[in-house]
Amino acid sequence: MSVLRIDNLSIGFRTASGDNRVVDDISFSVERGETLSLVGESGSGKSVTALSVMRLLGEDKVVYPTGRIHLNEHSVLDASEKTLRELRGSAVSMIFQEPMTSLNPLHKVYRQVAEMVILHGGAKKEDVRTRVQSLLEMVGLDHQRFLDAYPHELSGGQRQRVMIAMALANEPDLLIADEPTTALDVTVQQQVLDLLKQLQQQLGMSMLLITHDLGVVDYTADRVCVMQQGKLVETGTKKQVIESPQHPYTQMLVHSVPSGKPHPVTEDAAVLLHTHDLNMAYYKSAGWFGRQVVAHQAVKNMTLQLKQGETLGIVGESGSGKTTLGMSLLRLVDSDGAILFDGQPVDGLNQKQLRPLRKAFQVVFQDPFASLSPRMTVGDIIEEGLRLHFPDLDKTARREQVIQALIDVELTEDYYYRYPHELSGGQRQRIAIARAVALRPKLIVLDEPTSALDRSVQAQVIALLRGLQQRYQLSYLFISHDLAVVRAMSHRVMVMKDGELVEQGEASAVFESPQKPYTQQLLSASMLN
Amino acid sequence: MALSPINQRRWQQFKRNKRGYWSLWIFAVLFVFCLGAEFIANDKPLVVSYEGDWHFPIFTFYPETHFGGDLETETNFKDPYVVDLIEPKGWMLWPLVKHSYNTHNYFLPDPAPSAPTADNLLGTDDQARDVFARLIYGLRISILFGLALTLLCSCIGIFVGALQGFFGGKVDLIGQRIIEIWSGLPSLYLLIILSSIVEPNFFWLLAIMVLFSWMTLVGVVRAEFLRGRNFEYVKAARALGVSPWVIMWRHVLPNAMVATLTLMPFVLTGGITSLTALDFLGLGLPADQASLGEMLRQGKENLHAPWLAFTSFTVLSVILSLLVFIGEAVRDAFDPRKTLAMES
Repeated sequence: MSVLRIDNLSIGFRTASGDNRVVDDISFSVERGETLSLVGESGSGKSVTALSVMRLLGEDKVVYPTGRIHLNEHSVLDASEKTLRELRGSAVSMIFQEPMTSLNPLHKVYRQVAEMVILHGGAKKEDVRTRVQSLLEMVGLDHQRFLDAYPHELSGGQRQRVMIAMALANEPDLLIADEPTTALDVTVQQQVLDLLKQLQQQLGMSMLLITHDLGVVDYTADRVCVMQQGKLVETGTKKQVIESPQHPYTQMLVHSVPSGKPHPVTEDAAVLLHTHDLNMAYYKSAGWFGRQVVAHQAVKNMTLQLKQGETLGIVGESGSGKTTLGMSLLRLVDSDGAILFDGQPVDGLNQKQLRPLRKAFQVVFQDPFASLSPRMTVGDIIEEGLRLHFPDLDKTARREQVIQALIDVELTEDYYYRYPHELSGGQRQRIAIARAVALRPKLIVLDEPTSALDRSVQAQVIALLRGLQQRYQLSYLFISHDLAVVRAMSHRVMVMKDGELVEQGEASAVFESPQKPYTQQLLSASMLN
Repeated sequence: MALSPINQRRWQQFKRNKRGYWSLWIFAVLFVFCLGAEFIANDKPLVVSYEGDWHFPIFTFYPETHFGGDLETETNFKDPYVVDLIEPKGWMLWPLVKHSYNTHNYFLPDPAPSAPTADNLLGTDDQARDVFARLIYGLRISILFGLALTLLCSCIGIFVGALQGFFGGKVDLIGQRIIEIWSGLPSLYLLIILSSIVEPNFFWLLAIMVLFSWMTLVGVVRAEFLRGRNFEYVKAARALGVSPWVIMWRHVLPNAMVATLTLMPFVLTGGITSLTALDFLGLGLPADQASLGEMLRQGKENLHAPWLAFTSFTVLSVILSLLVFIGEAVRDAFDPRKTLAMES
């Protein structure tokens, strides 16, 4: 008997101009003890579906034109608020993507977990404590250490474990996990997925796993449902879907894992960027007279070389100092140690002396939503640098350059007067690349340029970056935690941990025969095939 | 004049707020009407034709002797003696209201303050001056004062707030302390002291008010700049090599503008209200000048003449409401989310 059965469900949001349907006539069921994975890119309606199972969407904004949701023979869409409250937490619980915001920062771990136990279990006070202890034990946290800890004292993985403990407090029949590992580092991701698999077997519960990452699906799911723009396009066992996808969209998803290699660097390429013993530390003032002491050493003794037309991948988990390294090289944060760019030392220059040189080294940031000024048109955004570094260009010549840059990133002239909010994530990232490329730089620091994008868009952006590199002989410093993307982009790779270099070498060498244990662990956890 | 596509959209968005759009029209008409106060309410005719020559007494000084009178002083065109001199040899074109703000009407049916009549549409005040004439002159000076005050306060406030927010650190620390001390100074006492030294006129009052109200916007602008300087697109602009001043102007300021514009109508209404309050207390403009505050005081002192209080109260509340409605529409126009919603 299935734990969850959804028949012909449609979901719409009320807007001023009629209902905007986001999920259209989908049906699937989750059997007892199995893991069903709901896969799709952003905007496919997978999270909305999951939230509807718990009726957690704002009731005044959402409409259900057709369909039924059955949860343990309760019809969720007809249930009263009281029934729903009983179902939530005891029959079905949920863990969310963002462990940073899903715990209340003012309450200790004990109190947050205990609340769930008391709410549905009605247990006695002394029983609650032992129950909470055993729950923390179950998710692999030392209860003596964590019972009285506040959320900010925990790492992302630990928080997600606390969330799982809370979700499992009443041994639900169904656990909905909405992108449970997307915000976590790869090594932690694997641990959390292992934990979920193990707990599922132990408690015999079903799991609805929502994800965009086929690696996670492959690792955890029994069956897979693929969603595209609100429609269910393919359902099947994991083996069927991943090995022989039927629907073109699924095929595209399966094959959009970043692949290929960058174009080889020419033999006689000159060294463009050279650093020697680069250090970057955050200081805090201590004592009576504001003496500066090192609070955190973000980058330690980094020595690197980058040739013209080469891509150097910088790999590491969050907090490894890879972004800080990139910002130091751009001189956007202060650091110690020599930086030679194109044979010229740039570490001693002040910001004013540096400004004319900046056109040669540009940057593309991770979040395409934050890196474009929302109040400027695309044309103005790209033009800004040109205006600054090529003051002798007149208005028409500048406009031509901007349009050329738009064409370079495979967009058209039509985008000139658009605003960033009218564009998709992939288009915005292209604009950010166009802004950098328009100046004809020699080096572009790419700080996680693809991690906010869907896989299919990622592949396009990678192809674009590779093409631009070949056309303009660009050097890239490619910062990412995503090993698949780094492998597809880089000639050489440096692995960083806690601000230090762990391993470096040719990309093929590092990925195929990693020497250091940390690199090996990273590679095995990242589920590359 | 062609608006850029951004501003066209902002204008569309502004127009969508019907209340604000109509308020703007009403306000604009009122303002233009008041700007031409001399041509609407004056004790001099617009045009005098005398012996075939045209005269423009509003612009030029004509002694009475010019028209065959006895005195070397400026002609009083309302004097029946003068009228008798001019009428046979020409004609006079009068404005809508034959009184200026400082004309004493000697031909009242009742003792001043007198009730509304056909001659004095809104009655007269206790010095036999026409209320309607005083109203439009007073309104003009209030609006101009408010606008000038808003403009100056915004310029100073945004500049100081931007500096503090963008550079932070010591600049911010020192700036904030100065503002705290400065806003502790009692501006009303200073005005009282000042009015015993110089006779306060429009510009003195403006200067004093600017001196004590430029802080209004600093807090908001500072907060927006503190937030804005860490945005990724600001970092991207720094990486492009844009200078800090240009970043402040082009990238951070537009974001601070929504918060600033939300406050601006309140600064404007605040400016108008504070001038009114000063005049009401008798610390403001010279006694013979028309002003809304002075009219309110007349209303308070002559409760038996309700047209005085009623007129000034109505006009003041209408003007303040109009400005707030316009301010709301302006804020909508600068909100990119609203502009987006408009298209879908």
